[in-house]
Amino acid sequence: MSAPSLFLTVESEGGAVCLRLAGVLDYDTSDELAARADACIEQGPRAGELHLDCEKLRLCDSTGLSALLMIHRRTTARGITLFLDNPPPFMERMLSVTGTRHLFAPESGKARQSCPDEVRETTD
Amino acid sequence: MAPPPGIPVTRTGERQASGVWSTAPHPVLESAAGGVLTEVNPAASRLLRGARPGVRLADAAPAWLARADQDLRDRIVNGSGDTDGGASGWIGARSFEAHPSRSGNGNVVWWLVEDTDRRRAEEALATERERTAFLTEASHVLLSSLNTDRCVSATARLASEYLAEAAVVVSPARGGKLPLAHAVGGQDVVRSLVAADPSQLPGLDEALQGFPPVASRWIDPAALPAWMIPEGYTGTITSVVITPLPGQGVPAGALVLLRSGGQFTENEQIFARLFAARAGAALSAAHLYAEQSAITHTLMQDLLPPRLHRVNGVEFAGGYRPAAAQERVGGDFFDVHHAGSDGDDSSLVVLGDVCGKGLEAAVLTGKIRNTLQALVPMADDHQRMLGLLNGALLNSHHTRFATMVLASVRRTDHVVRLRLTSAGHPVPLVVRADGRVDEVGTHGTLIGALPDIESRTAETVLRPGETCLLYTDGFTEARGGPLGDEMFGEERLKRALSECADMPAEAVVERIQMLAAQWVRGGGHDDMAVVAITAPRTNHLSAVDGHTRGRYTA
Repeated sequence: MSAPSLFLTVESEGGAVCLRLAGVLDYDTSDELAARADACIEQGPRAGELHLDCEKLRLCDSTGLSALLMIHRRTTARGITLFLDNPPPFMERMLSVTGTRHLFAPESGKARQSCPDEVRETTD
Repeated sequence: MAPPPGIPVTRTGERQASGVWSTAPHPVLESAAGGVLTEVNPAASRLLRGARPGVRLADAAPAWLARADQDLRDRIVNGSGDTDGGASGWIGARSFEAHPSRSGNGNVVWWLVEDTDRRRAEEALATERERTAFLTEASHVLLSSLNTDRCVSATARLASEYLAEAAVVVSPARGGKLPLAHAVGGQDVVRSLVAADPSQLPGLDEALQGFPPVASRWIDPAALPAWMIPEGYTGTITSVVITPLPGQGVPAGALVLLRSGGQFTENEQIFARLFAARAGAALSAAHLYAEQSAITHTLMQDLLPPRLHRVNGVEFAGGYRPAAAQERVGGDFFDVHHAGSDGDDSSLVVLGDVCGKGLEAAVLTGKIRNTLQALVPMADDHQRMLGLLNGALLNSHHTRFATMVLASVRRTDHVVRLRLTSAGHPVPLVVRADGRVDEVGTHGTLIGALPDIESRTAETVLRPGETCLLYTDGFTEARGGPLGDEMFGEERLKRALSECADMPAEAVVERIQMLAAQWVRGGGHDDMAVVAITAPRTNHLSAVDGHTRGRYTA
C-alpha cells in the first residue's frame, strides 16, 4: 500500500479529546487507531470524554470494530466516556447488527462543538 | 598499451645502432626478408634462447610472432593496408605485445613490451565477472522455487556444471539414512537415499553439523566411499572439496565437489563457499516454506467447512468461498451438528464469521467450532450456549470477536421448525413458497469481546419448498456490479433469494454463490459462507423414518 489509508487527527479543548477518523478502518489500519487512542487515554482527558469523530470514515470492517471495542474496554476501565460522533449509516448498521451500539455514548447535539477546529496535533 | 615513447629507433639499420638497442629496456628484434633475424638485442636473446642474427624468426620465436612478422612483410610487399599492426601472445609464462616499426632498408624491427601483469589482471577480472554472473544466476535459479527437492537438484546441477566435474548434495540424515543428490557435468540429477554413516568421509560429518570446511588438500580422495561417487562416473578422483550448506541456524546439508586430474585451488574453494552460502539460504527457505505449508495443510484438514447433506428429513447445503485462494481457511465457518437426544431428531446449524483473517482467524475459528461442538448437548438453550462460548473466548489482551447464527432445526410431520438466534450476525432470511422473503426477527450481541451479551431467539416454520438462508456479510458487502464498486447489498440478496422458492437446498446455495461471483467478477471480496436449510417437498412416499430417501411419486 503506497499511502496510509487512515488519517487521524487529534484535537482537544476543555479537557475533552477528539480523534477524527478519515478513510478506511480495516485490518491494515486498526492497530494504528488503537495505538493513537491509547495515547489519548494515557493523557487522561480532564473532562473524562473521548470522542471518535467518524464523519469522514469511508469503511470500517470487523477488525475496525474490534479496535473500537478495545478502545471502549480501555476507556471504561479509566472511567472515560467514549463518544462516537457522526457515524456514517454503514457504521450505524454495523453497530446495530452486532449489538454494540449501546457501548458508545450517542452523539450529542454538541458533538461538533466538542471537536473544535483548532488542530493541536496531526498525523498523516 | 602504446609502445613507450622516446625510445630511439634506427632507420638506417647500421650496425652501430645495435649499441642503442642494447640499452633498450625491452627485447628488440630486427628481421629481414624471409623472416631471418638481422639484429637481436641482449634483452631479446635472454628472452628467446636461440635468437641471433642469421636464424629464422620462426625457429627462435613463438609461432604468433613469426606469423605477425610474415603477415606484415606480405602487406609491405603488396603495398596494401597499414604496416603498424602489432601482435600479442605468450612467450613462456610471460605475455608480450609486439610493436613493429620499419627500418629504412625494408627490415622490420619488433619491440616486445611485456604486459603479463595486465593480462593476468584482465583474466582475474573476467573470471570474477563470470563468477558474479554465475552467483547471480544461481541465486535466481535457487530462489525461484520454494520446493526443497527442486532446490537440492538445482544446487547439485549448478555445482557440477560450474564448480567441479561432479557434485553431491548431502542432506541432513533422515531416519539413519542420508539423502543424496548426484550430478555430473550439469546433467540430470540422480537422487538416492543411502544407509550410510557420514563419518566414513572425513570432513562430511563436520560439514553436516555446520563446522567450517576442511581444506581440500587434507581430504584423501582415496577415502571417498563408493556411495559418494556418481553412478557412471569413470574418472579417478584426485581432489575433493566438502563445504557446509549453511541454513537458518541449522545446516541445510553439505556440498561435496569432485574433480579428476588436478586440484581445487584456494580461490576455487572460496568460491565454492560463496555458492554454498547462497544454496544453503535457498534450501533453508524452501525447507521453512515446506514446513509452513505442511502446518497450514494440517490445520486446513480440520478447519475446512464440511460437506452438508440431508439430515433428519431436512435438506442442508453449504457453500464457502474464501477471500484469497492461497489462504483456503478464512474467518467464515459453518457446521451442522446432530443435536437430538431421546429420539428427538433435531440438528444444530452454526454459521459464523470471525474477525480478522489468515491463520489468526483460522485458529479462533477452530476454537469456536470445537467449543460449540462440546456445547451441542445444550442446544435447546441458545442463550446458555452463547454465554458459555463467550466466556470461553473472552480474553484480556485482545477484542477479536465472532458473530454467528445458531439454528436449531427439527422436522415435525411435513414442516421444519426453526429456532434461530443471531449473535451480532446479519439476520437469516426465509424464502416462502410464494417467493416472499422474510427476515427472521432475531438479534443479539457479538461473541468474544464483551463480558455481558444478550440475544433474542426467534422461531419460524418452513413449509415444503421453503428455505432459510444463513449467510455472512461477505455476500452483502461484496463489491462489484456494473461500476465495480457497488455493494451486493441485502436488497439484491433478497431479490435473488425470492427466485429460489421451491428449489432444493443445493440449488439455492449454488444460485446465490453464482450471483455473487458474477457480481464481483474477478474483483476482491471477503470470505463468503452460506448455508441453506430447506424443507423438502413431501412428494416422496415417506417410508417414513425420515432417515432414508424413500421413493418418489410422479
